[in-house]
Amino acid sequence: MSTTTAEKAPKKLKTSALKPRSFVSWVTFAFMSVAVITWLFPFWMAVANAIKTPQDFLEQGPLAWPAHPTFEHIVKFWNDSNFPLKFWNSTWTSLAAAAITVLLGFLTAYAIGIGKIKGRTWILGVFMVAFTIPQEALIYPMYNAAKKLNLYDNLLSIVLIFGISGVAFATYLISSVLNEFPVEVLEAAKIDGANAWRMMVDVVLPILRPTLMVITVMVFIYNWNEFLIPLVLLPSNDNQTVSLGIALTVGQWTAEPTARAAAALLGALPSILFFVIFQRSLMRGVTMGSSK
Amino acid sequence: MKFNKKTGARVAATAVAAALAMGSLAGCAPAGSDTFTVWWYEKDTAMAKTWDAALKELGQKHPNVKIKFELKTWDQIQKAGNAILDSDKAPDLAEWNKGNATAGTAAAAGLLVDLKDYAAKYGWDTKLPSSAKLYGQYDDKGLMGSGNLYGIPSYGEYVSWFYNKDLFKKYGVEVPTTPEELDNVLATLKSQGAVQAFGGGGYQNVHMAYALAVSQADQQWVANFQQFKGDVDWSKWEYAANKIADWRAKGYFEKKASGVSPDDAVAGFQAGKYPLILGGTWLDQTTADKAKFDWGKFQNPGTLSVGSAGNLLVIPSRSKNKDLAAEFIDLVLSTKYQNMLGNEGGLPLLADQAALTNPVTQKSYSVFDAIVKADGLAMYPDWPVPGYYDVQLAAGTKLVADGDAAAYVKTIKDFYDKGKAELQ
Amino acid sequence: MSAATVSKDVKQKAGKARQTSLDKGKGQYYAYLLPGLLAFTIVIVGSFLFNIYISFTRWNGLGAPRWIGTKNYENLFVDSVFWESFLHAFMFIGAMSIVPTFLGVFVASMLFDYIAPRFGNGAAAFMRAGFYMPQVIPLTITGVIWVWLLNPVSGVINNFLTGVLGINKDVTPNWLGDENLAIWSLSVIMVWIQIGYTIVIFMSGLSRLDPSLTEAAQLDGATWFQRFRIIILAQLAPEIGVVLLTTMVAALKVFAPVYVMTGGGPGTSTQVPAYFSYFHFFTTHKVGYGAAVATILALLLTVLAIVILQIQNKQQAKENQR
Repeated sequence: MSTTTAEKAPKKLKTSALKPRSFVSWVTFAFMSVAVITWLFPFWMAVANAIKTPQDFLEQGPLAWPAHPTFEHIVKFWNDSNFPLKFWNSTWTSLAAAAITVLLGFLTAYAIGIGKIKGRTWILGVFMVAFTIPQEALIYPMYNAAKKLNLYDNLLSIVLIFGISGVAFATYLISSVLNEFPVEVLEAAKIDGANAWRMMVDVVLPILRPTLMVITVMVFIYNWNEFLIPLVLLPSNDNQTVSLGIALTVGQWTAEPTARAAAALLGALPSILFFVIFQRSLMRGVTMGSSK
Repeated sequence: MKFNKKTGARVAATAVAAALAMGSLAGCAPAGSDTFTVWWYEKDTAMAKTWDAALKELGQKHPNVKIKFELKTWDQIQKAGNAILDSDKAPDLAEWNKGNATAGTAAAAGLLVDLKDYAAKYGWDTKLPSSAKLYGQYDDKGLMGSGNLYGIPSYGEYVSWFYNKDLFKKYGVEVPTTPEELDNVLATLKSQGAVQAFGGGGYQNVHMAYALAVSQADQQWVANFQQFKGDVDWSKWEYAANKIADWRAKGYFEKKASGVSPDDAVAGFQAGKYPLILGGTWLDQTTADKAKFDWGKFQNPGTLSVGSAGNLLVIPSRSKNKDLAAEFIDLVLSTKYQNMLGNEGGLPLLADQAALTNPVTQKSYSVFDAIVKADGLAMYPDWPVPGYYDVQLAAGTKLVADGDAAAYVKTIKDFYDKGKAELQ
Repeated sequence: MSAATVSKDVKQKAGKARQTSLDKGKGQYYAYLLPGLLAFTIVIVGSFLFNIYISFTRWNGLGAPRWIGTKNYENLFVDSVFWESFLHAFMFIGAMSIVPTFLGVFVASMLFDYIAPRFGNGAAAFMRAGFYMPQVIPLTITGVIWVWLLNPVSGVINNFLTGVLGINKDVTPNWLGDENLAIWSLSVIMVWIQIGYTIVIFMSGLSRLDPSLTEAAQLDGATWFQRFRIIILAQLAPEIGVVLLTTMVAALKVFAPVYVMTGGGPGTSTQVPAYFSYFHFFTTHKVGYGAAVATILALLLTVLAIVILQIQNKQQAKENQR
């Protein structure tokens, strides 16, 4: 099994054990299906109207599927807003920051969860409280520091800020997983003469790898969607992230509803694709902190 | 891919190293006199076309300079412009919003170059009419109207009514010359099911309120309101708010105007769906391009009009290419480019009237000329205090939605009083 | 010395030796703590403390801050917009925390306990993903999509009302332009965003439930609804606690949707503390004032978190006693 021993495996049903479907259950199924479709309706509208010509929009309105679908709006917005650059900015900064977060988080959690150093409850407590601090209570000092350190309008600044901001969250999650780490394995390693480093690299890390991957995915998406910090620290167009760039440039480049839909679609698409690919990891990560 | 701990560590290390490398490289962008960074937020306007051409000529004159242009938005400068000026990412030359709230605070903070020497060198002092120059002058408290010269205006702008001549004929109304006639026009239109286009959810509500207020005011009132020369007579604002509430009650604009953006309203007018709209000269050229009907402009009836010298060209104190920036400004002020601005449909300050052939400019210029001759420019309402624009916008949207004139006046008066106390 | 005492002595010495070797081991762990803790303290704690300092000064971001004591807080106390912003933040708690939690428990158990057993895990997982989708895209993009959908003239919603339901187009609501309606429109959008999160957490919580409990109840003839009330809700208590906490924190921190969709308007009907703070930081340049708002928000969130954690701990203790 690829899950850690600390996680409980979700109960799965064998298909042969499906319960019989009554009429009421079909009605319920239909109801739930309609609910899901309604939930996804905005995305559907964005897709339909992003490929609609202004002519079709005037004649058919926003609800209908376009009679003459075209990609020209999407292409135009892609070029005008320099979408590839923004995509690249978002991706590499989110990834680098996630790497920093997981690395630092793991080291810190290791000391807390395995090393069980003194004062660890206090440290975890501070981290938990830090969780709740709103970014507005941090942003002006960060903006000030960025200017003084020559990091203003520099993507490195958000890599550092995202990376370090996430340490509290990552430490908390990883240490709660490490708390349940089987003591026998650690004892055996100690008897073999392992010091802390060897234990971390040879014993703990291999077992924790899947968990760390999951947390990386979570943090990556979280960084990707960030808005306030890039808004304040990245004024020039070339340094914008997707989340920031689309929000700011929508008024600039578009006056037509179909063009606006194209912009919104491009902004949402990377996240949706990412979600579809990494769904399982993401779901696991979201639930990790909740089950104690 | 087999992801064991070794590859994992290697990937992580590479990622961090790459990040650091990228970050530091980005920070090492060639700064120095071989790059010339320019910002403005004109898009598709006559100014954009003219400045583009002037920038090209500057590039030809200095072939070893790399010209880096960035298109910003008015909103970006309004909301956070000073933050950028105070960093080493400040551009070498920029278009800037005029007024206490933007250029004023920047000037007072020492973020803009005092253009005194360049003005003397190039003769801007004598070229620019004093009524235009004052928009670029700020005192040590950052109040507009007097003091050192920090920004150069190169065009004019004003707000007036655009109207669809064909629809006016169809509905049997004429261009009004007094506020009462304007009301009658709106009433006649309404009786036949036509209303003005109104982007009440955006900047149009800000301009509408001020346009109505200053239509009842004089230059002394403007000086009091904008430059704190005296106490503000708020009855003009009450007139404006009550008028908007009145129009709302009578249905002279759409019930849901507070949810309509100016872009949408303008698009509707240019598509021929509405007989008139209150708009600025920045709409001249696009209207000429898009409107398939005969159109014209008329001054908002009353004493003064919303308008001023156009946005400023400024040289940030942190500019690394101040001389080049001054050269560009001089190009823009030259007759060649001022004429070009006029012929592209803009409102130049220093053009050779005889050389203006664009019929759109002529349409706009005649109204502008009349206003300027009557000393009728009243500036813009959000200039006096920082953050005023956001407050007026939000309050205006609410006024358009619920017609509560008293609440509107109270909100904008309170914010003004607070801001004024801090600036003085 | 007798043989017994000798061996006892040796045993004690050996025990002590093992003890000290373990203790010696502990010291080395501190080094692992250092990088993360140091970075965190400097960047996060440092910024937070500096922000608190700024809240006691008057500063426009340039030059040096000027100490003015509690003046900013005194001014905030009488600033009606400040109070309104918190009122709206609490309304968002309803929209982002209470409603999604209740709906989420219901939908999660529907999917897990009713749909999955009858239609397979695939169907349930697909529906879960569908509900979760809004959580994945950036909040700003959500804002852009909904502004477009809610446009009173060309927007999808109103076109649906006039085209499909035949409602007169003069009566269709002005979703974001009516100051009585705007905050409710935002709230509904928040529910749309947040419900996926609660569903995912609760479904995972349900998966750790002992199925024998529910099977026994079924054998006893309990309906789905009875099972839901008695077993599921009780078992999900810890998850409910976590979800309420995290969503309340998120509700009080709302920024991006307001920035993109309404800018706090019409009037001040959608003003929120985060946006109010930003407005004073970067538009009016009253940095000290903005810092005060941010500090109060942070304090409120910390107190909230501590209170909920205490409640949770007490609940946990009660459970453990059972």
